[in-house]
Amino acid sequence: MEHRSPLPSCYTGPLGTAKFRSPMRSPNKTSGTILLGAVVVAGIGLAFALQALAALDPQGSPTPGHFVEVTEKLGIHFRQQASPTSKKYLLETMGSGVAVFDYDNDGRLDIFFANGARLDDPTPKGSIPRKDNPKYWNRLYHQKSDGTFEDVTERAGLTGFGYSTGVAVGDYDNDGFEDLYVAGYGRGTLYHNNGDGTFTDVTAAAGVAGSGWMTSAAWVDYDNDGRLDLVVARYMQWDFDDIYCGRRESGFRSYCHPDAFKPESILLFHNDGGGKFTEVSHKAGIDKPGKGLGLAITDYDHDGFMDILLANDSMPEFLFHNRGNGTFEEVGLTSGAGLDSSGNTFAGMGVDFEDYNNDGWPDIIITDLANQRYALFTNQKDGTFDYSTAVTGLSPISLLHSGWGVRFVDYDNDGWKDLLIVQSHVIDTIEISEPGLHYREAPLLLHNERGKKFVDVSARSGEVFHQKWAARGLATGDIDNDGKVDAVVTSNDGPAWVLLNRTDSPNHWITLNLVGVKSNRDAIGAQVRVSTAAGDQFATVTTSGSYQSSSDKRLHFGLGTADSIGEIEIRWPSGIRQVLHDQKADRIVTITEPIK
Amino acid sequence: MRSKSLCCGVVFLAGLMSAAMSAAQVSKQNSNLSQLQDAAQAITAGNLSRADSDLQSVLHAAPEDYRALDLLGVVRVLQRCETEAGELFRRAIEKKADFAPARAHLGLLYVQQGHPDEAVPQLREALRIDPARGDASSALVRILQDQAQAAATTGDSKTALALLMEARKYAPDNPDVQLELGTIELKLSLWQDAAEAFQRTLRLRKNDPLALYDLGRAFMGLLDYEDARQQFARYVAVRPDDASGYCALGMTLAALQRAPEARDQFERSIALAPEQTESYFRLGLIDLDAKDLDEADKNLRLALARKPKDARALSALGNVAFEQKRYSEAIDLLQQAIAGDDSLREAHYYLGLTFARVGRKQEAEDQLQIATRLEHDEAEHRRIVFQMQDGPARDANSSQPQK
Repeated sequence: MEHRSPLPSCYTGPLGTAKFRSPMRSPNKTSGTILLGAVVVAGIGLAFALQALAALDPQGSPTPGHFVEVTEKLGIHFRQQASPTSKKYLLETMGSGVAVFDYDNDGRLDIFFANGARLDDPTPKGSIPRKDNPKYWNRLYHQKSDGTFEDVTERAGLTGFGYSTGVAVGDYDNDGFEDLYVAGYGRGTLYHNNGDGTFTDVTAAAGVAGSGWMTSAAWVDYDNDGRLDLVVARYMQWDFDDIYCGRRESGFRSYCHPDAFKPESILLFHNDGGGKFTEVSHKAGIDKPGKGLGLAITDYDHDGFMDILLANDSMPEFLFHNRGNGTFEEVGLTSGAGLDSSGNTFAGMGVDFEDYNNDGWPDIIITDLANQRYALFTNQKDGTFDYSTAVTGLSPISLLHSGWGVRFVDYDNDGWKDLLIVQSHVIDTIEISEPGLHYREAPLLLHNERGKKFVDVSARSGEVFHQKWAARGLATGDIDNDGKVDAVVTSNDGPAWVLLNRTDSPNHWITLNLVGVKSNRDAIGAQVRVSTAAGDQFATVTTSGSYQSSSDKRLHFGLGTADSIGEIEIRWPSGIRQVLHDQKADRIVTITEPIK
Repeated sequence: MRSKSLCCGVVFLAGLMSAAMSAAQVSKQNSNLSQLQDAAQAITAGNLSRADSDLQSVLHAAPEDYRALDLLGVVRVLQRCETEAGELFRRAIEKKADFAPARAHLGLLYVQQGHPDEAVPQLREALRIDPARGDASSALVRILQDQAQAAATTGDSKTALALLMEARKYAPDNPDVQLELGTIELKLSLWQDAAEAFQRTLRLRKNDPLALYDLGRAFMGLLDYEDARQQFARYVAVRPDDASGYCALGMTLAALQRAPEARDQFERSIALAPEQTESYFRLGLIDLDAKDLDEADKNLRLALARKPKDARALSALGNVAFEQKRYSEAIDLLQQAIAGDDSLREAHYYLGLTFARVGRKQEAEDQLQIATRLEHDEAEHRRIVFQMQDGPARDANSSQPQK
């Protein structure tokens, strides 16, 4: 049990019961009772052993990562435009996300950046900001055969509309080409991939424009009908009101706390086929008002239906359990995943929902603000979760940090999913009001010690982990197809960064590209078990997670010293179970769903 | 209330000093009134009969001379003729309402007579006219401190705060006033103000142990754990035998998630004061965090052995039982905790989780709702406190500068 803000109740101990006139207080005595005050405040086999040793460097400490920032070299010059104003509109500090996906099926990952828009100072209430200058455009960068990128935004027809926030990738019409949903303030946009390098805005016909302040979005086939449905998180009921927050001194005006605004419900669009969607949030029982920022999906209880996790800001986190009949039940609090171990809310922002301890059950990581600690909830395999931040060593690591995008990624291919987190406080003047905290922060790389502990290896993992950014979005994927997971990071009102993983590790790997037939073509929701001599690993196909971002849907598994995989088991969303045996490592394998 | 003999001494000394001051002023203002000067010097020298004679002579020639009336009042005080002294001071004030010495002397006389409430307006007026009057400010500050203490004793912290803020205005360099002000601000959760008061105390009285300790508490209230840790570390250096200091230092280290160091401090605290409960409780929490449930159980039971109805320890032990899936016992312990303190958020939270585990859905939801409401109330309280510290300029829509 962790406690927030404990005032030392030891005060009421030997020094006397807080006598008022200090000179009359008795000198200290050590006898007597120190009273309790008010609580305010919180069998390994040989192969396993060898694998563990392989993960350690000669000094016995975990293998550090080695990430190299190559953005400009690759030809990417994106810069997010937050349009900061003197009014400190909350929208301008929440950033925009990024997607890593292969839009032209050339086998190489491309990158899409969401962007802000012009905000006037002041911006009239009810306004929808405009992308009236190319600098506000969203950007699509196509990866060429030499690994560099070219800006194809205009040709692709993806310049965008309004103030874009999140992005979600999914082939909603199962035509074999990845489509894009771009969330935004006031309106979201669905882009159909035409398969020829261009996209068409089909929002109106599809009926997925949404409303309000939309943040993260996710594609998920919640009813297993073979078509991807769309979930869109919304932050709050918010408009361009001139609300003053912070001290009334020059330089102290601050972004407002979310408590100043009413919560807003999530949007669920059912894919009816034929390019049409129906908004079913209420019917599906998913319209409980929250303050949603991050979204992640998985089948956490192995009942064959995808569940949805919504990271809420400063209110309990929501876990929507899929009942399997087209409706959901929100079980965040009762499952133990709604609050920290002291029953406190926290400022949930980024989220990921993967199995970090290789027990076959997806676990939850949620980033939040400094003085709250990142929340790790371990799946107890019975529909409940245990707050494991302290026991896994995350408390001291994260206490003074504020995190946004987060992904479980096995950066050193040792078979254990590590944590990559991009960081920054939400308030750009935080150093003034809280000198111990910082607005810009370096990213964090945490090595997973066999599912027991996370160890901070950032300091030894390359220059990028010493650079302080106002980071927001994070998407991952093997951009150069070298068997190591890379990352793309966005910042608020600043540049984006492409980080190539150059970690020096002899470990093996495999990347699985699943293609659904009866299931949705992206195979989103497919659950995969990979078995080697070292044990089993599990992952679920998804493009969602992190913060307002969309990652490569291909599943990447580090294999440690194993150069082959004894068994790969796939449970497709259709219910079909597929098993492959004796697969060679160190390659990208495409697996198509069997018809029967 | 201070003793009367002390007040008499204050008035006596103050009277002498005031007389001398009055004489000095007289000599500068009017050399023709050498008799008044002589009288003042006589008072200072303790020759009251000569002073009396000089002043009677002046008053014979000029019955309305307020300065003579005031000085004669001082003589009467020293002669223990307080009733006549009071009359003379009042007459002097009647003749010249903005004559600070007479106001001050009358106020001091009231203090001497045990009438502080009557003294206060006279002393305030004297200081309004002449802010440099040390006798008046010293007496007024002492009265304000006494009144603040009385108010605090009855639970009227806001009145105490107002009185001490006034006292600080008159005596900004008085470390006791700063310390007392900080103490009351701490009680009112005005963390930033309290921290500033204790920092001023420490500037005036280096390494004052109480100021160090309370400054640490104020920093904890501000969630500034590192600064809090530093203060408690200084405190234990000043008072190495105080178990409370190690316990508090342990709490800051625990808040900083430095569990092994926190554990060391709690163990040192226990070594100094084995019969305490707090450090055992804190050790139990560290064990609980580390999922060392057996050790947590042991330490929490040690705390409860010393204080069987402690709600927090019962709640934490209920949490241990929950983690160990001993749900029936968890429910019993958590309900006991709530019976002892129904504002204990963690107890409601874990009772809700426990009910959920045993299928008592409605009860689970009820408890979890209480927990979230309590948490929201705490957060709201904290925001209000921060707003208060930000000053009155904030508008109704203002909120704490956090996301």
